[in-house]
Amino acid sequence: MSIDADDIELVRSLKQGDPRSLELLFRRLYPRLCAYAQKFLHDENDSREIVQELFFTIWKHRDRLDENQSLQSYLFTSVKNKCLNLLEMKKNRSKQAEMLWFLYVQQSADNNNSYHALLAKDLERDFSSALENLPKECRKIFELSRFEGLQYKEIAAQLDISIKTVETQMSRALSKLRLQLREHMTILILIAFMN
Amino acid sequence: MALNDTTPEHVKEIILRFLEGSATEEDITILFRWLKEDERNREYFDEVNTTFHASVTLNRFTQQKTDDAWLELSGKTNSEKTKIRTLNPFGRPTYKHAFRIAASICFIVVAWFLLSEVLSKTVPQQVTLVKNSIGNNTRILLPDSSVVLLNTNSTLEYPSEFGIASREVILKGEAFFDVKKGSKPFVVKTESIRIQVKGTRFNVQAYKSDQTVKTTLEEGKVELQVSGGEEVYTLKPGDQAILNTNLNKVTLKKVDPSNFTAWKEEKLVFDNTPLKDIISKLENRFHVTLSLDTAIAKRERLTMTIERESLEEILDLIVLSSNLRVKKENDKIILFE
Repeated sequence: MSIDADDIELVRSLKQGDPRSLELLFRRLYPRLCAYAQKFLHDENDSREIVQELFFTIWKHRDRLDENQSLQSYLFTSVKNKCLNLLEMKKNRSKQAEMLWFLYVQQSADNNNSYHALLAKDLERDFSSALENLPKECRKIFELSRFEGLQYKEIAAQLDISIKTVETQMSRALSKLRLQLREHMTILILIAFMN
Repeated sequence: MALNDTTPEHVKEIILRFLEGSATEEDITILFRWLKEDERNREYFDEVNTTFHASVTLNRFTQQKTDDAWLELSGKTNSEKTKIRTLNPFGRPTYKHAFRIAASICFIVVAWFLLSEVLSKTVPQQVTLVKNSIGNNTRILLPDSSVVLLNTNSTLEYPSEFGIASREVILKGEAFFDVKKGSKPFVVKTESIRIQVKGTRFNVQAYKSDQTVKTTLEEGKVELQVSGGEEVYTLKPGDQAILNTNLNKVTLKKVDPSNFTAWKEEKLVFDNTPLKDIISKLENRFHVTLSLDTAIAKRERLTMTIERESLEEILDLIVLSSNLRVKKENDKIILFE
């Protein structure tokens, strides 16, 4: 992956102890790193804690940063490693953790480039156009979940439909987006190869 | 990669519930079984999982959440420079003559900068070290209101940011922990084990000179892992996990926790108590080995109250109130008829 000049500059000022550069980096990546952690953990508190701790460590050991390496990839890789370690710890405690452990630690089911899905700037646009092709009701349900952060049962109550309908429609919307994402990732991987 | 979607509808719905966090135990069992069936199933799930987080979850980490998280982080990075923590040298001043404690408890509070700080130019990260070298127990009140009673010849170490990012302490020797419930797990590390709890009362004995590390649970639940090992041992109240550090083997057994926490009590009251119970509490309190013929141990019963007496004084008391005699052999104290 190529590193752009802005990032080199950012790492430099981080190393010099400029708190504004930490804030910039934090604001830029916090939601994405949390969403990435969520993919492995499905536990919001744990995800947030892991990301917080990571930024704290970065700041504490900022002198060890290397401006010639992509800080972004480093952050995503660290989040993943921390998540997998946590699953290892938790696998005997909950069925959910055991399942995720099986999937991501034992079977390594994660595509190593999957975090790019969270970084792709044009993905959002592709998602929107994919959603536009969906029936109105389906789109509405998905957006209530996505933008309002509503739970399925809340959506069901608000629209006066059954939870099952909400689930079916959500499933439809996600299938659409999934195909979009898959296309996107293929292109990303191609670009990565060409570089 | 099969593009056409052959995933059964009911599995799709379970996945949806799982992503939202409303899957039941049964849902997870079905999903888990389905994931084990085929690699394509796993691939499908991973894609949907990624899609969900790249679309729905990402939007749920709103500006507000980011702001809050940033405030928390900047608070932490600023407080890195906070002062050295000082501890009240008279752990529990109300119940004892302060003078006696001052004389018998010797403990040093040291804050030092991490090696990394000496070698580099990072802002100092500070550590609090509580050392209890001789005499009575030391009571430590941690920033999260958890209480630690530190036994003789023991040290407890924790970072100045304790409670912010995590709750982690390092123990050498023996301590009793009364952990306050908190969102972050409380972690005790010794040279050979790692114990993780939420809120409970338990005792850890990890003296370097011993070949065993004993974790005894009084209340709640703890999880224990041997350093470098993978297995997690879950303890229930009354359980004791004994790690043999030579064999690196853990055995679990049921015990009376009070026999292993007797060292921390201000007062031990024995009312017509079998000598064998008294002996085990004394062994724990003074960290010695007392041996006694089992027949005598069961037969003899004693009544006495122990507060600040030394072991010698107590042994004299036992001799006076029974027909037993005492002798010392190496590190062992033998009671005989």
